[in-house]
Amino acid sequence: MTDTSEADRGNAGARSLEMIARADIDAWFVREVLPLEAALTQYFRHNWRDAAGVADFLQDVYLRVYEAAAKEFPTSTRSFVFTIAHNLLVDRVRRAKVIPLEAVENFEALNVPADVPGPEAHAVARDELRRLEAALEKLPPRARQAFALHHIEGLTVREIASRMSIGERGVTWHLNEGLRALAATLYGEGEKP
Amino acid sequence: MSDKVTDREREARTAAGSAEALRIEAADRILARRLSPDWNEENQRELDAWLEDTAHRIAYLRLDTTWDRAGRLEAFRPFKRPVPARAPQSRRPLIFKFAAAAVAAAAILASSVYLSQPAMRTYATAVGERQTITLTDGSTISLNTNSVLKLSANANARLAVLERGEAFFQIQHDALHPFIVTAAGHRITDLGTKFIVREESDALKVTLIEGRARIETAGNAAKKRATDLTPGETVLASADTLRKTMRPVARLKNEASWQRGVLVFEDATLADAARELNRYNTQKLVIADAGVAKLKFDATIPTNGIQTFTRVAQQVFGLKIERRDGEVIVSR
Repeated sequence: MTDTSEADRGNAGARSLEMIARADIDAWFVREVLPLEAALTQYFRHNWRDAAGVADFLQDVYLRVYEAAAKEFPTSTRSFVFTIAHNLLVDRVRRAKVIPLEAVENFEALNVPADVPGPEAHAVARDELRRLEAALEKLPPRARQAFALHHIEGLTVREIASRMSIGERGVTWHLNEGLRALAATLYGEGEKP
Repeated sequence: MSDKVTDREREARTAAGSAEALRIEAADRILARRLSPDWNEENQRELDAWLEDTAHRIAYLRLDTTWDRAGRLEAFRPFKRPVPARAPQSRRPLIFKFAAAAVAAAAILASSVYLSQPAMRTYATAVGERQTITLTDGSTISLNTNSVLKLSANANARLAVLERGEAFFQIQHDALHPFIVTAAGHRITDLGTKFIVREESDALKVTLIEGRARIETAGNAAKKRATDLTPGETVLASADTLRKTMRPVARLKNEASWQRGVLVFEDATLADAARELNRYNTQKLVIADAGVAKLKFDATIPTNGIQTFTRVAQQVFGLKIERRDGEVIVSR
Protein backbone atom coordinates (compact mmCIF):
# COMPACT_ATOMS: atom_id res chain seq x y z
CA MET A 1 0.00 0.00 0.00
CA THR A 2 2.97 2.33 -0.16
CA ASP A 3 2.58 2.44 -3.94
CA THR A 4 1.28 5.82 -4.96
CA SER A 5 0.36 5.11 -8.55
CA GLU A 6 -2.64 6.64 -10.25
CA ALA A 7 -4.37 3.28 -10.12
CA ASP A 8 -4.29 3.40 -6.34
CA ARG A 9 -5.64 6.88 -6.26
CA GLY A 10 -8.39 5.98 -8.68
CA ASN A 11 -9.36 3.09 -6.46
CA ALA A 12 -9.96 5.41 -3.55
CA GLY A 13 -13.61 4.45 -3.34
CA ALA A 14 -13.06 0.90 -2.18
CA ARG A 15 -10.69 0.29 0.68
CA SER A 16 -11.00 -0.87 4.17
CA LEU A 17 -8.45 -0.51 6.91
CA GLU A 18 -7.92 -2.83 9.84
CA MET A 19 -8.58 -0.14 12.41
CA ILE A 20 -11.93 0.61 10.85
CA ALA A 21 -13.04 -2.98 10.99
CA ARG A 22 -12.03 -3.11 14.63
CA ALA A 23 -14.29 -0.20 15.60
CA ASP A 24 -17.14 -1.98 13.83
CA ILE A 25 -16.50 -5.27 15.63
CA ASP A 26 -16.34 -3.43 18.95
CA ALA A 27 -19.71 -1.81 18.27
CA TRP A 28 -21.24 -5.10 17.16
CA PHE A 29 -19.83 -6.90 20.19
CA VAL A 30 -21.29 -4.37 22.60
CA ARG A 31 -24.63 -4.14 20.81
CA GLU A 32 -25.31 -7.80 20.02
CA VAL A 33 -23.04 -10.10 22.01
CA LEU A 34 -22.90 -8.60 25.51
CA PRO A 35 -26.71 -8.63 25.91
CA LEU A 36 -26.50 -12.44 25.60
CA GLU A 37 -24.46 -12.68 28.79
CA ALA A 38 -27.45 -13.54 31.00
CA ALA A 39 -28.54 -16.36 28.69
CA LEU A 40 -24.95 -17.62 28.38
CA THR A 41 -24.53 -17.63 32.14
CA GLN A 42 -27.74 -19.55 32.61
CA TYR A 43 -26.66 -22.01 29.96
CA PHE A 44 -23.31 -22.52 31.67
CA ARG A 45 -24.87 -23.03 35.10
CA HIS A 46 -27.31 -25.60 33.78
CA ASN A 47 -24.62 -27.62 32.14
CA TRP A 48 -21.58 -27.27 34.37
CA ARG A 49 -21.21 -28.08 38.02
CA ASP A 50 -18.59 -25.55 38.94
CA ALA A 51 -20.52 -22.29 38.64
CA ALA A 52 -17.48 -20.36 39.90
CA GLY A 53 -15.84 -20.70 36.49
CA VAL A 54 -18.47 -18.63 34.74
CA ALA A 55 -16.23 -15.56 34.26
CA ASP A 56 -13.56 -17.67 32.57
CA PHE A 57 -16.18 -19.37 30.44
CA LEU A 58 -17.68 -16.06 29.30
CA GLN A 59 -14.24 -14.69 28.51
CA ASP A 60 -13.45 -17.80 26.41
CA VAL A 61 -16.72 -17.53 24.52
CA TYR A 62 -16.29 -13.79 23.90
CA LEU A 63 -12.73 -14.22 22.71
CA ARG A 64 -13.69 -16.86 20.15
CA VAL A 65 -16.77 -14.92 19.07
CA TYR A 66 -14.81 -11.70 18.63
CA GLU A 67 -12.03 -13.37 16.68
CA ALA A 68 -14.45 -15.22 14.42
CA ALA A 69 -16.41 -12.03 13.78
CA ALA A 70 -13.19 -10.29 12.76
CA LYS A 71 -13.18 -12.60 9.72
CA GLU A 72 -16.87 -12.46 8.99
CA PHE A 73 -19.94 -11.15 10.78
CA PRO A 74 -22.45 -13.97 11.40
CA THR A 75 -25.98 -13.65 10.05
CA SER A 76 -27.51 -14.62 13.38
CA THR A 77 -25.43 -13.49 16.33
CA ARG A 78 -27.45 -15.52 18.77
CA SER A 79 -27.06 -18.96 17.18
CA PHE A 80 -23.45 -18.14 16.35
CA VAL A 81 -22.64 -17.31 19.98
CA PHE A 82 -24.47 -20.32 21.37
CA THR A 83 -22.84 -22.69 18.91
CA ILE A 84 -19.44 -21.48 20.11
CA ALA A 85 -20.54 -21.76 23.75
CA HIS A 86 -21.82 -25.28 23.13
CA ASN A 87 -18.61 -26.42 21.48
CA LEU A 88 -16.57 -24.98 24.31
CA LEU A 89 -18.60 -26.85 26.91
CA VAL A 90 -18.41 -30.10 24.94
CA ASP A 91 -14.62 -29.72 24.94
CA ARG A 92 -14.64 -29.15 28.67
CA VAL A 93 -16.82 -32.18 29.30
CA ARG A 94 -14.50 -34.31 27.22
CA ARG A 95 -11.45 -33.11 29.15
CA ALA A 96 -13.08 -33.45 32.56
CA LYS A 97 -12.34 -36.60 34.52
CA VAL A 98 -15.90 -37.06 35.70
CA ILE A 99 -18.40 -36.65 32.93
CA PRO A 100 -21.70 -35.13 34.01
CA LEU A 101 -24.07 -37.39 32.09
CA GLU A 102 -27.14 -35.23 32.11
CA ALA A 103 -25.04 -32.45 30.71
CA VAL A 104 -24.00 -34.52 27.72
CA GLU A 105 -27.60 -35.43 27.02
CA ASN A 106 -28.60 -31.82 27.17
CA PHE A 107 -25.92 -31.00 24.67
CA GLU A 108 -27.38 -33.38 22.14
CA ALA A 109 -30.55 -31.35 22.19
CA LEU A 110 -29.00 -27.92 22.24
CA ASN A 111 -31.68 -25.39 21.59
CA VAL A 112 -30.61 -21.88 20.98
CA PRO A 113 -32.89 -19.74 23.12
CA ALA A 114 -35.17 -17.79 20.80
CA ASP A 115 -34.88 -14.08 20.26
CA VAL A 116 -37.57 -12.32 22.21
CA PRO A 117 -38.92 -9.26 20.40
CA GLY A 118 -37.55 -6.23 22.18
CA PRO A 119 -39.76 -3.71 23.96
CA GLU A 120 -40.05 -0.26 22.46
CA ALA A 121 -37.14 2.07 22.77
CA HIS A 122 -38.68 4.34 25.38
CA ALA A 123 -39.63 1.37 27.55
CA VAL A 124 -36.03 0.21 27.28
CA ALA A 125 -34.71 3.59 28.36
CA ARG A 126 -37.01 3.69 31.35
CA ASP A 127 -36.23 0.08 32.20
CA GLU A 128 -32.56 0.87 31.95
CA LEU A 129 -32.84 3.48 34.69
CA ARG A 130 -34.78 1.12 36.91
CA ARG A 131 -32.24 -1.65 36.30
CA LEU A 132 -29.39 0.71 37.05
CA GLU A 133 -30.99 1.84 40.25
CA ALA A 134 -31.59 -1.78 41.32
CA ALA A 135 -28.04 -2.77 40.34
CA LEU A 136 -26.66 0.13 42.36
CA GLU A 137 -28.62 -1.05 45.40
CA LYS A 138 -26.90 -4.42 45.18
CA LEU A 139 -23.36 -3.05 45.34
CA PRO A 140 -21.31 -3.33 48.52
CA PRO A 141 -22.01 -0.19 50.62
CA ARG A 142 -18.69 1.64 50.04
CA ALA A 143 -18.68 0.89 46.34
CA ARG A 144 -22.29 2.05 46.11
CA GLN A 145 -21.49 5.29 47.89
CA ALA A 146 -18.50 6.01 45.65
CA PHE A 147 -20.56 5.25 42.55
CA ALA A 148 -23.46 7.41 43.63
CA LEU A 149 -21.17 10.30 44.55
CA HIS A 150 -19.53 10.18 41.13
CA HIS A 151 -22.38 9.29 38.80
CA ILE A 152 -25.31 10.96 40.54
CA GLU A 153 -23.69 13.86 42.36
CA GLY A 154 -20.98 14.38 39.80
CA LEU A 155 -18.09 14.58 42.29
CA THR A 156 -14.45 14.08 41.27
CA VAL A 157 -12.26 11.39 42.83
CA ARG A 158 -10.67 13.99 45.09
CA GLU A 159 -14.06 15.23 46.27
CA ILE A 160 -15.30 11.71 46.88
CA ALA A 161 -12.16 10.94 48.87
CA SER A 162 -12.77 13.85 51.19
CA ARG A 163 -16.48 13.08 51.49
CA MET A 164 -15.77 9.44 52.37
CA SER A 165 -12.71 10.30 54.48
CA ILE A 166 -10.48 7.88 52.60
CA GLY A 167 -7.55 8.25 50.21
CA GLU A 168 -7.93 8.72 46.45
CA ARG A 169 -6.58 5.24 45.80
CA GLY A 170 -9.24 3.94 48.16
CA VAL A 171 -11.88 5.64 46.02
CA THR A 172 -10.49 4.05 42.88
CA TRP A 173 -10.46 0.73 44.65
CA HIS A 174 -14.16 0.98 45.53
CA LEU A 175 -15.05 2.20 42.05
CA ASN A 176 -13.14 -0.74 40.55
CA GLU A 177 -15.04 -3.17 42.72
CA GLY A 178 -18.33 -1.43 41.97
CA LEU A 179 -17.77 -1.34 38.24
CA ARG A 180 -17.12 -5.08 38.06
CA ALA A 181 -20.12 -5.90 40.22
CA LEU A 182 -22.32 -3.56 38.24
CA ALA A 183 -21.29 -5.21 34.95
CA ALA A 184 -22.10 -8.61 36.42
CA THR A 185 -25.56 -7.49 37.51
CA LEU A 186 -26.38 -5.49 34.40
CA TYR A 187 -25.25 -8.17 32.01
CA GLY A 188 -26.99 -10.80 34.06
CA GLU A 189 -24.20 -12.89 35.46
CA GLY A 190 -25.45 -12.03 38.93
CA GLU A 191 -23.57 -12.48 42.16
CA LYS A 192 -21.32 -15.41 42.55
CA PRO A 193 -22.59 -18.20 44.76
CA MET B 1 -5.47 3.05 52.22
CA SER B 2 -2.31 1.01 51.78
CA ASP B 3 -3.95 -2.17 53.04
CA LYS B 4 -6.60 -1.67 50.37
CA VAL B 5 -3.88 -1.85 47.79
CA THR B 6 -2.50 -4.97 49.41
CA ASP B 7 -6.00 -6.46 49.28
CA ARG B 8 -6.13 -5.63 45.64
CA GLU B 9 -2.79 -7.25 45.01
CA ARG B 10 -3.83 -10.32 46.92
CA GLU B 11 -7.03 -10.57 44.96
CA ALA B 12 -5.17 -10.13 41.73
CA ARG B 13 -2.68 -12.82 42.68
CA THR B 14 -5.28 -15.41 43.58
CA ALA B 15 -7.09 -14.62 40.39
CA ALA B 16 -3.88 -14.44 38.34
CA GLY B 17 -4.35 -15.49 34.76
CA SER B 18 -8.09 -15.72 35.18
CA ALA B 19 -10.85 -13.65 33.67
CA GLU B 20 -11.33 -11.97 37.06
CA ALA B 21 -7.73 -10.72 37.12
CA LEU B 22 -8.24 -9.33 33.65
CA ARG B 23 -11.41 -7.56 34.75
CA ILE B 24 -9.59 -5.93 37.66
CA GLU B 25 -6.88 -4.67 35.37
CA ALA B 26 -9.35 -3.48 32.73
CA ALA B 27 -11.39 -1.65 35.38
CA ASP B 28 -8.25 0.07 36.67
CA ARG B 29 -7.39 1.23 33.18
CA ILE B 30 -10.92 2.50 32.56
CA LEU B 31 -10.90 4.44 35.82
CA ALA B 32 -7.49 5.90 35.03
CA ARG B 33 -8.61 7.01 31.59
CA ARG B 34 -11.95 8.36 32.76
CA LEU B 35 -10.96 10.01 36.00
CA SER B 36 -7.32 11.10 35.79
CA PRO B 37 -7.20 14.87 35.63
CA ASP B 38 -3.86 14.69 33.83
CA TRP B 39 -4.47 11.93 31.29
CA ASN B 40 -2.11 12.56 28.37
CA GLU B 41 -1.25 11.30 24.93
CA GLU B 42 1.38 8.96 26.22
CA ASN B 43 -1.12 7.35 28.59
CA GLN B 44 -3.47 6.97 25.64
CA ARG B 45 -0.80 5.34 23.48
CA GLU B 46 0.02 2.92 26.26
CA LEU B 47 -3.68 2.07 26.65
CA ASP B 48 -4.10 1.61 22.91
CA ALA B 49 -1.17 -0.81 22.88
CA TRP B 50 -2.73 -2.79 25.73
CA LEU B 51 -6.02 -2.93 23.85
CA GLU B 52 -4.34 -4.49 20.81
CA ASP B 53 -4.73 -7.81 22.62
CA THR B 54 -8.23 -9.11 21.93
CA ALA B 55 -8.67 -10.69 25.37
CA HIS B 56 -7.81 -7.34 26.97
CA ARG B 57 -10.09 -5.54 24.56
CA ILE B 58 -13.11 -7.70 25.39
CA ALA B 59 -12.75 -7.25 29.13
CA TYR B 60 -12.28 -3.52 28.60
CA LEU B 61 -15.29 -3.08 26.28
CA ARG B 62 -17.57 -4.93 28.67
CA LEU B 63 -16.65 -2.74 31.64
CA ASP B 64 -16.28 0.50 29.70
CA THR B 65 -19.83 0.08 28.38
CA THR B 66 -20.96 -0.54 31.94
CA TRP B 67 -19.33 2.72 33.02
CA ASP B 68 -21.19 4.50 30.21
CA ARG B 69 -24.45 2.91 31.29
CA ALA B 70 -23.84 3.96 34.89
CA GLY B 71 -23.46 7.48 33.52
CA ARG B 72 -27.20 7.49 32.92
CA LEU B 73 -27.72 7.48 36.67
CA GLU B 74 -27.15 11.17 36.20
CA ALA B 75 -30.80 11.34 35.19
CA PHE B 76 -31.56 11.19 38.89
CA ARG B 77 -29.68 14.39 39.49
CA PRO B 78 -31.91 17.14 38.11
CA PHE B 79 -35.16 15.42 38.94
CA LYS B 80 -34.65 13.89 42.32
CA ARG B 81 -32.54 16.78 43.48
CA PRO B 82 -33.99 20.06 42.26
CA VAL B 83 -31.41 21.90 44.35
CA PRO B 84 -28.18 19.91 43.99
CA ALA B 85 -25.65 20.20 46.78
CA ARG B 86 -23.13 21.49 44.24
CA ALA B 87 -25.18 24.43 43.08
CA PRO B 88 -24.19 27.09 45.58
CA GLN B 89 -25.25 30.74 45.49
CA SER B 90 -22.35 31.61 43.23
CA ARG B 91 -24.05 29.82 40.37
CA ARG B 92 -27.01 32.14 40.34
CA PRO B 93 -25.61 34.68 37.90
CA LEU B 94 -25.29 31.93 35.32
CA ILE B 95 -28.90 31.03 35.84
CA PHE B 96 -30.04 34.62 35.48
CA LYS B 97 -27.99 35.00 32.33
CA PHE B 98 -29.94 32.12 30.96
CA ALA B 99 -33.28 33.47 32.17
CA ALA B 100 -33.59 35.79 29.15
CA ALA B 101 -33.64 32.83 26.78
CA ALA B 102 -35.99 30.94 29.03
CA VAL B 103 -38.50 33.77 29.09
CA ALA B 104 -39.42 33.21 25.43
CA ALA B 105 -40.15 29.55 25.93
CA ALA B 106 -41.93 30.10 29.20
CA ALA B 107 -44.19 32.67 27.59
CA ILE B 108 -45.21 30.25 24.88
CA LEU B 109 -46.09 27.66 27.42
CA ALA B 110 -48.04 30.25 29.38
CA SER B 111 -46.17 29.04 32.38
CA SER B 112 -43.83 30.68 34.79
CA VAL B 113 -42.28 27.42 35.76
CA TYR B 114 -38.74 28.37 34.68
CA LEU B 115 -38.79 31.58 36.58
CA SER B 116 -40.11 30.16 39.79
CA GLN B 117 -37.90 27.12 39.51
CA PRO B 118 -34.73 27.91 37.60
CA ALA B 119 -33.25 24.44 37.98
CA MET B 120 -31.28 24.38 34.73
CA ARG B 121 -28.54 21.84 34.62
CA THR B 122 -25.53 22.30 32.41
CA TYR B 123 -23.96 19.44 30.51
CA ALA B 124 -20.67 19.99 28.74
CA THR B 125 -18.33 17.80 26.75
CA ALA B 126 -14.66 18.42 26.04
CA VAL B 127 -13.11 18.02 22.59
CA GLY B 128 -13.37 14.34 21.66
CA GLU B 129 -15.88 13.51 24.38
CA ARG B 130 -19.51 12.60 24.09
CA GLN B 131 -22.21 12.07 26.66
CA THR B 132 -25.71 10.63 26.73
CA ILE B 133 -28.35 12.09 29.01
CA THR B 134 -31.43 10.02 29.77
CA LEU B 135 -34.52 11.77 31.05
CA THR B 136 -36.97 10.05 33.35
CA ASP B 137 -39.58 10.04 30.58
CA GLY B 138 -37.29 7.87 28.47
CA SER B 139 -36.12 10.64 26.13
CA THR B 140 -32.40 10.67 25.46
CA ILE B 141 -30.02 13.38 24.34
CA SER B 142 -26.55 12.59 23.07
CA LEU B 143 -24.11 15.42 23.29
CA ASN B 144 -21.31 15.40 20.71
CA THR B 145 -17.76 16.72 21.02
CA ASN B 146 -17.09 20.19 22.44
CA SER B 147 -20.72 21.00 23.19
CA VAL B 148 -22.69 22.69 25.92
CA LEU B 149 -26.35 21.99 26.66
CA LYS B 150 -28.61 23.31 29.37
CA LEU B 151 -31.59 21.29 30.35
CA SER B 152 -34.65 21.87 32.39
CA ALA B 153 -37.29 19.20 32.63
CA ASN B 154 -39.94 18.70 35.24
CA ALA B 155 -43.58 17.72 35.45
CA ASN B 156 -44.65 20.86 33.59
CA ALA B 157 -42.31 21.39 30.70
CA ARG B 158 -39.20 20.25 28.94
CA LEU B 159 -36.68 22.70 27.62
CA ALA B 160 -33.14 22.38 26.30
CA VAL B 161 -30.75 25.11 25.21
CA LEU B 162 -27.89 24.07 22.95
CA GLU B 163 -25.29 26.72 23.63
CA ARG B 164 -22.53 25.19 21.57
CA GLY B 165 -21.82 22.20 19.36
CA GLU B 166 -24.13 19.38 18.39
CA ALA B 167 -26.73 17.13 19.98
CA PHE B 168 -28.91 14.23 18.91
CA PHE B 169 -32.38 14.24 20.43
CA GLN B 170 -34.66 11.23 20.76
CA ILE B 171 -37.75 12.63 22.33
CA GLN B 172 -40.79 10.85 23.73
CA HIS B 173 -43.75 12.79 22.48
CA ASP B 174 -46.11 14.26 25.01
CA ALA B 175 -48.71 16.59 23.51
CA LEU B 176 -49.22 18.42 26.80
CA HIS B 177 -45.53 19.00 27.40
CA PRO B 178 -43.76 19.66 24.13
CA PHE B 179 -40.00 19.41 24.13
CA ILE B 180 -38.45 22.68 23.06
CA VAL B 181 -34.87 23.16 21.95
CA THR B 182 -33.45 26.61 21.47
CA ALA B 183 -30.14 27.18 19.75
CA ALA B 184 -28.64 30.35 18.31
CA GLY B 185 -31.98 31.96 19.11
CA HIS B 186 -33.94 29.58 16.86
CA ARG B 187 -36.58 27.41 18.39
CA ILE B 188 -37.33 23.78 17.54
CA THR B 189 -40.49 22.19 18.87
CA ASP B 190 -40.64 18.44 18.67
CA LEU B 191 -43.74 16.57 17.75
CA GLY B 192 -42.34 13.16 18.73
CA THR B 193 -39.00 12.87 17.02
CA LYS B 194 -35.42 11.99 16.45
CA PHE B 195 -33.39 14.94 15.28
CA ILE B 196 -29.91 16.43 15.29
CA VAL B 197 -29.12 20.04 16.05
CA ARG B 198 -25.70 21.32 15.10
CA GLU B 199 -24.25 24.76 15.35
CA GLU B 200 -22.19 25.72 12.29
CA SER B 201 -20.10 28.85 11.88
CA ASP B 202 -22.81 30.87 10.13
CA ALA B 203 -26.02 28.90 10.60
CA LEU B 204 -27.85 26.37 12.70
CA LYS B 205 -28.34 22.99 11.07
CA VAL B 206 -31.32 20.85 12.05
CA THR B 207 -31.77 17.38 10.57
CA LEU B 208 -34.92 15.39 11.17
CA ILE B 209 -34.55 11.61 11.15
CA GLU B 210 -37.93 10.48 12.39
CA GLY B 211 -41.27 12.00 13.37
CA ARG B 212 -42.13 15.67 13.01
CA ALA B 213 -40.71 18.92 14.29
CA ARG B 214 -41.19 22.62 13.76
CA ILE B 215 -38.49 25.24 13.56
CA GLU B 216 -38.88 28.98 14.01
CA THR B 217 -36.08 31.42 13.28
CA ALA B 218 -34.67 33.86 15.77
CA GLY B 219 -35.63 37.09 13.95
CA ASN B 220 -38.10 39.57 15.34
CA ALA B 221 -41.82 39.16 14.69
CA ALA B 222 -41.73 40.77 11.25
CA LYS B 223 -38.80 38.70 10.02
CA LYS B 224 -39.60 35.49 11.84
CA ARG B 225 -39.98 32.43 9.64
CA ALA B 226 -41.14 28.96 10.48
CA THR B 227 -41.37 25.58 8.80
CA ASP B 228 -42.36 22.02 9.60
CA LEU B 229 -39.77 19.34 9.00
CA THR B 230 -40.43 15.85 7.68
CA PRO B 231 -37.95 12.94 7.93
CA GLY B 232 -34.94 13.34 5.68
CA GLU B 233 -35.10 17.10 5.69
CA THR B 234 -32.30 19.35 6.82
CA VAL B 235 -32.78 23.00 7.53
CA LEU B 236 -30.05 25.61 7.66
CA ALA B 237 -31.29 28.56 9.67
CA SER B 238 -29.49 31.89 9.81
CA ALA B 239 -30.71 35.07 11.48
CA ASP B 240 -33.69 35.50 9.16
CA THR B 241 -33.53 32.82 6.48
CA LEU B 242 -34.41 29.14 6.29
CA ARG B 243 -32.95 26.85 3.66
CA LYS B 244 -34.26 23.34 3.32
CA THR B 245 -32.70 20.28 1.67
CA MET B 246 -33.96 16.72 1.42
CA ARG B 247 -32.05 13.44 1.45
CA PRO B 248 -33.06 9.78 1.73
CA VAL B 249 -33.41 8.89 5.42
CA ALA B 250 -30.98 5.97 4.97
CA ARG B 251 -28.18 8.45 4.20
CA LEU B 252 -28.89 10.37 7.36
CA LYS B 253 -27.62 7.68 9.68
CA ASN B 254 -24.13 8.81 8.75
CA GLU B 255 -24.93 12.12 10.41
CA ALA B 256 -25.53 10.35 13.69
CA SER B 257 -22.61 7.91 13.42
CA TRP B 258 -20.62 9.95 15.96
CA GLN B 259 -22.83 8.34 18.55
CA ARG B 260 -20.99 5.10 17.78
CA GLY B 261 -17.67 6.92 17.95
CA VAL B 262 -17.08 6.91 14.20
CA LEU B 263 -17.45 9.34 11.31
CA VAL B 264 -18.71 8.02 7.99
CA PHE B 265 -17.44 9.82 4.91
CA GLU B 266 -18.97 9.14 1.52
CA ASP B 267 -17.51 10.91 -1.47
CA ALA B 268 -16.06 13.47 0.91
CA THR B 269 -13.08 15.71 0.21
CA LEU B 270 -10.02 15.46 2.44
CA ALA B 271 -10.72 19.05 3.48
CA ASP B 272 -14.25 18.16 4.66
CA ALA B 273 -12.99 15.13 6.54
CA ALA B 274 -10.16 17.08 8.17
CA ARG B 275 -12.53 19.83 9.28
CA GLU B 276 -14.89 17.25 10.75
CA LEU B 277 -12.12 15.32 12.56
CA ASN B 278 -10.73 18.57 13.94
CA ARG B 279 -13.93 19.01 15.93
CA TYR B 280 -13.07 15.88 17.90
CA ASN B 281 -9.34 16.25 18.43
CA THR B 282 -7.02 18.68 20.09
CA GLN B 283 -4.38 17.79 17.53
CA LYS B 284 -5.45 19.59 14.34
CA LEU B 285 -5.19 18.42 10.75
CA VAL B 286 -4.02 21.05 8.30
CA ILE B 287 -4.33 20.46 4.56
CA ALA B 288 -1.44 22.36 3.02
CA ASP B 289 -2.58 22.89 -0.56
CA ALA B 290 -5.80 23.29 -2.48
CA GLY B 291 -5.19 20.34 -4.80
CA VAL B 292 -4.87 17.99 -1.86
CA ALA B 293 -7.93 19.44 -0.19
CA LYS B 294 -10.09 18.46 -3.16
CA LEU B 295 -9.13 14.76 -3.22
CA LYS B 296 -12.19 12.61 -2.56
CA PHE B 297 -12.54 9.38 -0.66
CA ASP B 298 -14.92 7.13 1.31
CA ALA B 299 -14.05 5.87 4.76
CA THR B 300 -15.28 5.18 8.23
CA ILE B 301 -12.91 6.78 10.71
CA PRO B 302 -13.05 6.71 14.51
CA THR B 303 -13.69 10.19 15.90
CA ASN B 304 -10.22 10.07 17.49
CA GLY B 305 -8.74 8.62 14.30
CA ILE B 306 -6.22 11.24 13.24
CA GLN B 307 -3.90 8.31 12.59
CA THR B 308 -6.45 6.53 10.43
CA PHE B 309 -6.76 9.71 8.42
CA THR B 310 -3.02 10.07 7.99
CA ARG B 311 -2.81 6.42 6.93
CA VAL B 312 -5.45 7.01 4.26
CA ALA B 313 -3.58 10.12 3.15
CA GLN B 314 -0.25 8.29 2.98
CA GLN B 315 -1.31 4.91 1.70
CA VAL B 316 -4.18 5.80 -0.60
CA PHE B 317 -3.08 9.17 -1.89
CA GLY B 318 0.67 8.98 -1.29
CA LEU B 319 0.72 12.25 0.62
CA LYS B 320 3.32 13.52 3.09
CA ILE B 321 2.56 13.88 6.77
CA GLU B 322 4.44 16.26 9.01
CA ARG B 323 3.77 16.83 12.71
CA ARG B 324 4.59 20.10 14.40
CA ASP B 325 3.20 22.11 17.32
CA GLY B 326 0.08 20.05 17.79
CA GLU B 327 -0.67 20.22 14.08
CA VAL B 328 -0.58 17.44 11.53
CA ILE B 329 0.26 18.90 8.15
CA VAL B 330 -0.81 17.01 5.03
CA SER B 331 0.87 17.89 1.75
CA ARG B 332 2.09 16.39 -1.54
